[in-house]
Amino acid sequence: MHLLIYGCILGILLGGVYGLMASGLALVWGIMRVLNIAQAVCVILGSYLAFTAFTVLHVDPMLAVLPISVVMFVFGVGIYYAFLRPIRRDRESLSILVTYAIAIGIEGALGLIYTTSLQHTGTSYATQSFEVGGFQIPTVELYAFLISVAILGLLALMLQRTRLGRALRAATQNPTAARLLGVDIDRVSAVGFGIGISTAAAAGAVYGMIYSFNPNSHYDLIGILLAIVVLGGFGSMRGAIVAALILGVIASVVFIYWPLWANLSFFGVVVVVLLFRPQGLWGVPNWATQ
Amino acid sequence: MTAMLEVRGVTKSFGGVVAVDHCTFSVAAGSLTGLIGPNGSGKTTLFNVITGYLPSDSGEIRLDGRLIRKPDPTWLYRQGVARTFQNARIFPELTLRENLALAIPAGWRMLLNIAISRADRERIDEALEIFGLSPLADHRAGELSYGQSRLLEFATTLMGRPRLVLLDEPTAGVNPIMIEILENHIRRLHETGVTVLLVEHRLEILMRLCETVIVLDQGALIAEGPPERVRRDPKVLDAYLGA
Amino acid sequence: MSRATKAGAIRAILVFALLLALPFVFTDHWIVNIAFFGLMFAVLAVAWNLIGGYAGYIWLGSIAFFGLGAYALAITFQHVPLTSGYLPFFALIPIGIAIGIVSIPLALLLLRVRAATFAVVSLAVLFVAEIFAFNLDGLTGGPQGLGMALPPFVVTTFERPFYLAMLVLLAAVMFCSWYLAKSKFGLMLFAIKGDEDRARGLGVRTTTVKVIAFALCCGFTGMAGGLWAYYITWIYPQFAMDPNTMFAIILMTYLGGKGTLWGPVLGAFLLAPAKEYFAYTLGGSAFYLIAYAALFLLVMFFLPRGVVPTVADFLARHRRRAAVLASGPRPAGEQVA
Repeated sequence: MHLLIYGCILGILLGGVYGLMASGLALVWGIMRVLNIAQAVCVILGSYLAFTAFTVLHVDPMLAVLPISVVMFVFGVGIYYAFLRPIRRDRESLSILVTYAIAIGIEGALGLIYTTSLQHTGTSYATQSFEVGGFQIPTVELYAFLISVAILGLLALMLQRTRLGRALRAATQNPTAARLLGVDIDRVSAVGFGIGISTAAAAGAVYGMIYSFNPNSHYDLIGILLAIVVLGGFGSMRGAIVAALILGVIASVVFIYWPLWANLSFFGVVVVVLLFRPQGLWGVPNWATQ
Repeated sequence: MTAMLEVRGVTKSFGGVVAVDHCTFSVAAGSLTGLIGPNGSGKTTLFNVITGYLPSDSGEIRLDGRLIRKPDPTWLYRQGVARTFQNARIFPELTLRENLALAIPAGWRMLLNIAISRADRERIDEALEIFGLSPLADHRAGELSYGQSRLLEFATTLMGRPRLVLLDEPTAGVNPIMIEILENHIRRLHETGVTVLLVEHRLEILMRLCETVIVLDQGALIAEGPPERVRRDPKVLDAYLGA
Repeated sequence: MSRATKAGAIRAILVFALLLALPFVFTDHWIVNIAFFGLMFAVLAVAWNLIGGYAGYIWLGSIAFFGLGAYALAITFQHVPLTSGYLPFFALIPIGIAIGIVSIPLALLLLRVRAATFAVVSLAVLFVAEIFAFNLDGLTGGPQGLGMALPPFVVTTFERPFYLAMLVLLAAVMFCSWYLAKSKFGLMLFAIKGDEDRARGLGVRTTTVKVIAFALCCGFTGMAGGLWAYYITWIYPQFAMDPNTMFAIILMTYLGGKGTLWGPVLGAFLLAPAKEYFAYTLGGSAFYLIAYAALFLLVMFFLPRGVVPTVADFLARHRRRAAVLASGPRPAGEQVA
């Protein structure tokens, strides 16, 4: 019982970080119907940037989150204009293949720069933990969770309160109507993609403190992120966050009892979703009208 | 006359918006019934529910008096219920012949049969002839004009020898000459004994074609009867003129 | 037989005659080795095209069935002495059929969703298969891999039996692809790609059609996997179920022309040798990945429809222009509307 509760606590902490990664994926899908397979490799890229900032410049990864987000935002906007905007026909399917190619391109580039050996951002508090009610809580995981929640909060505030946020939400709900209301879909898409990438990288910066990573790690991560989006419902940020917490808890609990099969639990949930609610928790059913 | 199609208390809402609200009506066998209502009055949604493209929230649908628990488009087509769509859905990558061949129901032998068998070919050529599309038989459907694709879609729905045909605004966005051609085809279909339910938002077309008109407004049925009477119904005037 | 089918038959006979002659003309090991991989990718691409090209479903789990076939064959013959060495070739047939049948319940599950959701859940299949291959080490040997006895073939022409077996498999899958494209079934697959809901409304049993195409794809892919395992004799999870191989198959299909008969074959023959060459010279290194990504993006942006449809369109336009010049004004039927 004690172990079970402990698993749930760790799962929620980890789920918050996954939620940050996956919410960017859901946002991008909602705005432009692009499924960004490169989301996970951008997480790893964020991890490497934080790793470099830490080892070379001695900047704490949690402080590096802000500059990394800014840099990766620009990077994301660049990727949008270079590779995604030109896709006109059949965007849903083609974008999967194009972003996959981007993903392995970045993976290759990371391999050139950092080699393929495992790295870890080993801060002074990386191995510390503190005790709450008999549970050993690792300090980094708590910090990572808090930072993720803070960024998600900022993002939610931006979406609710600002002009840009309104434009993003309008584009998500009804692109045609948004265009009629004078929203420049193209620019909004670019900004949305930039935000998606920068949230991935910000999550990556803290992810690198918890786990070891190498350029190849994004394969494991993308499977997890996609499972989250399937459960949450495509294009629903709220769904992505809730699903991330649910899956984080399930995977952590499975990990405690059967460590080898933790990753399988993500896909087990996908099977259940397909059987009982193919559109996910907050998704729109795939009914064709007209 | 017996009812071919009965709709009882069908309701469908999207989020908080009620698109179809406890709609009840029936379509007599062999009749040509019009379903009319202003834009956004739930006509297409009702069509989608009847033909199994959308699940209803409540209510029941009966075909020949038989309750249909879970309407499915494929099953309904094979039972003789065919429909068209508001925006003329055809297969632009396939040729006209292939479009028509596809709509001829096939059993397990589809794996072995060539795309257009000899028996099918005769029926297809006949249909092409009736709809004046013969010269374009082997062209890709994507090359057709909008009006022609309407004709093709109409022809396609008849390949399954339906008993009930639901037409969703067949004359929308089509030039006057084509409207006349389409009207003639609808009339001819009706004369061969097929039941037709026709959605329109323009009264004058229904006046010319239909025996019975059903009027929907904001998802609810507001009038039913012969076109002349319905036209003078104050509720209908209200809905149309927006009093 | 119409003129078009006659031309097609001649083309097929010519291509297969050349492929049959290849290992007897060029006997160098490296040439036959690369040709073997060319054929293998052709089989995989043609099989993928059944569901990915004809029906338009981006199926990203195909390579899991390649791995399944590989493990099925390797596990079956792990402890069986290979007297003549030809037995595993024949074992591929029941393995292919079994894999096709096994894939049906999975197809019923996956095909509940479409488009991008389908792509995502099908990618999950690949990850799940990989997890099983790694973790069920009692059966698969886990990360250490699984070995078979060395095939007892003459060293000088060692690759030849494998090459010929793969050629037979290619002929089979090509025949299947050709026959389906000509059949009513193929018409239904094309309709599903075009507008699945409309097809449902025209009485097409879309689920049945998709599941059959899916099972055929998985069966042939599994057979190719089994043959591959026998050829390389030692299999590891990360090579038997490599996501990069999965996307390579798709890239080949797109390059040649998805939804066409010869496109996937052409794409495989163009890219598979390049893949083997670069894998050999650059290793599995970072440069290899970058080159691969660049090539992928080039194909996606500059040849999204593929070589075969682009060339066919060019020829058709050329021919039509000639016909119009010869026949004068347009036929009356085109002015109906």
